[in-house]
Amino acid sequence: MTPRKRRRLIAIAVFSPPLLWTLLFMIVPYAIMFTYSFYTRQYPTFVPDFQFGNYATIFMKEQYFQVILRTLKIATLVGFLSLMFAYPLAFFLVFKVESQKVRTILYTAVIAPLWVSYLLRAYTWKTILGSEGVLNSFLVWVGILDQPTDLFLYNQFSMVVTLTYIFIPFTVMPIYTALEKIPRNLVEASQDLGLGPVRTFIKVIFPLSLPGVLAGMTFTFCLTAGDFIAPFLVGGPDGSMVASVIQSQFGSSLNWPLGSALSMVMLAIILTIISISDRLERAGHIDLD
Amino acid sequence: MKNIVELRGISKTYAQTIKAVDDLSLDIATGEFITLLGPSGCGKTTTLRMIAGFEYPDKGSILLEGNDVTELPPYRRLVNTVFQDYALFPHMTVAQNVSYGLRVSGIGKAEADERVSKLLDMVGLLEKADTMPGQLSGGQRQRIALARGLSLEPRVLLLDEPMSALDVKLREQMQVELKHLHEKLGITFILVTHDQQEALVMSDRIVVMNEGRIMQIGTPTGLYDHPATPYVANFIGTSNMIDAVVEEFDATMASVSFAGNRLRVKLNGQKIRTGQKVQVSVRPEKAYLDYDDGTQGDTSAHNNFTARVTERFFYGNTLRLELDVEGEPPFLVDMPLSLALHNTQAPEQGSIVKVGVNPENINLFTGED
Ligand SMILES: Nc1ncnc2c1ncn2[C@@H]1O[C@H](COP(=O)(O)OP(=O)(O)OP(=O)(O)O)[C@@H](O)[C@H]1O
Ligand SMILES: [Mg+2]
Repeated sequence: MTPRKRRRLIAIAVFSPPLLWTLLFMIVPYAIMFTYSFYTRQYPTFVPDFQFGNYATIFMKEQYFQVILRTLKIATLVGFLSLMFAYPLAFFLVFKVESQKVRTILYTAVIAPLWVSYLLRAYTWKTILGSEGVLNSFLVWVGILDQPTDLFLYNQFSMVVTLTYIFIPFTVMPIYTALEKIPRNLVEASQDLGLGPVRTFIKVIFPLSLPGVLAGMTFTFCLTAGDFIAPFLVGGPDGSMVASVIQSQFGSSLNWPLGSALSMVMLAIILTIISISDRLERAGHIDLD
Repeated sequence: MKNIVELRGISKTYAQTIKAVDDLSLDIATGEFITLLGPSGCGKTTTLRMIAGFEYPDKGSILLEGNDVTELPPYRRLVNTVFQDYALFPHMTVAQNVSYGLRVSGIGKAEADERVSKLLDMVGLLEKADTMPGQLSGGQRQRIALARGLSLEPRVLLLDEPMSALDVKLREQMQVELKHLHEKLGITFILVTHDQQEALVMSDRIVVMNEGRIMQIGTPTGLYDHPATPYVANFIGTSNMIDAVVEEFDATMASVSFAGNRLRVKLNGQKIRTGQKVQVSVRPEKAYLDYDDGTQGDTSAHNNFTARVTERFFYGNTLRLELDVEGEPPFLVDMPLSLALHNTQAPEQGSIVKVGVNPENINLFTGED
């Protein structure tokens, strides 16, 4: 056996399990879903077919395309809100914390919630925002409210708050990495040429951190768009999102073809956004070394 | 001439223990080309960064044109920096890089454009105006950094090892260009380098530093011919260092002995006493082989001693001989090759030669500096 052949065999041995795994548990299910999306529903089951009725339903029926629009709106909101929190946080960590040790500790602290169960973190907000919750008790105690209100929970507001909180670490990570890669002497060169901290931020730091911003927002957007636990826990009737609708199509509504079609539409939207963001990132890509 | 920069006893300590700069005082005259020279880690960059405003001294003060700027941030100082790795903004074109500081300084667009063209023309890169820095060669980036550093017509230009990333040929070329630029613009240049050759070629004055302190300040020839300490003698150029003992002396001359030989040394105000242990230094190119044939002119007042040739090194324009003098450390003599050829008999290895040195070309160090 030539060394070249041997190397190829080793490569096949190393790469085939993950490839097989991806094929079995990603590609095949998607293919099945894709096929289902053209089937016809015959309560309580469905029959193989090739028709676009399910897709037509999504775009004709108010309730379905509204939920898609709402999902995209909430995902955008969460994307921007987490950016608002994540950027200053990452900026502070990279540029204002002098000691490398302290910086690592703080960064770990920001990322640490990712190791805590998602459910637990979502529940936290239920206890904060609920009518018996921390926020209500506080407002009543201070005297701003006469009695607890349920305005905070089971609506879009509570969903956006919860999801933003949950996804902030995902936004911090790429921004932190992007900021850390900016050579310090670029900041110094800018100040040397007479630009103060604010103008230096606008002209040098922010433009060079854009790839991280884009990556962070794409992460958060996509994760939010596919979320069904937050709507379930803290979202009310007007807080339902497409993932929960899809889930119910496969569950109580027993309409797998429609659920599949909805999934395919969402998949198409998400893939489009990821590829646009990827293209933008590439276009703005600058070698920093 | 007025001083444009005055450093008054500045110190900078990192991490409580690393004394990067230690009570350093220095006056720099307007229009001067001054070089901070010293080994790696001696505090050159730190000194420069304090003048630029990127670091603040723990003690002491910094004056620019007579004004105390010790506490001023970099964007309020009339100095500009050419960074060691250029620090060009990667997301801006060459022209945008050069005009970066111009717009905020209140200069109109038309005038800024004109000045950018002029600067790019000056560094010979006008045709690269719309190129991104990532597509330039090292030498071209260096020139753009220089153009950017000069864009605001600073009173002082700080250059931190601007040529260390260039290859030898390009470096020599840039040295000449920089020197011409300095003469043309009349701006004060403060250069940092650990390359003594570069310092000698370019500077009006050289500041030799070691461990955060100034060892000696002087003109290139002054430092080369009259180093104040063995450290400087060894750091700038090559020196033969010889341990010797003072035999006798008067106001201007001293006689010292080493390895059974006597050397007459011209004094430069050093205080010595008979029997004292001293060091003397001789530059390899200032010593010569004495053939007693009159080619070296009148050498009757010179020192002579014999030695054995142990090695010969060919340097292209010179021949370096390594000589053994009675078991002392090797003594080096550089012969211009023209001379070696003139005598046709460049001495063979193992042959005995007579070495001559003019007393004026010997420096004496007492070890009390
Ligand atoms: N930010 C810093 N934190 C801690 N120590 C530092 C820092 N900057 C410099 N030092 C230390 O201060 C000393 C002087 O550093 P400096 O960079 O001024 O040296 P230099 O003369 O420019 O050397 P080189 O020729 O290698 O550039 C060194 O011992 C260095 O390790
Ligand atoms: Mg340095």
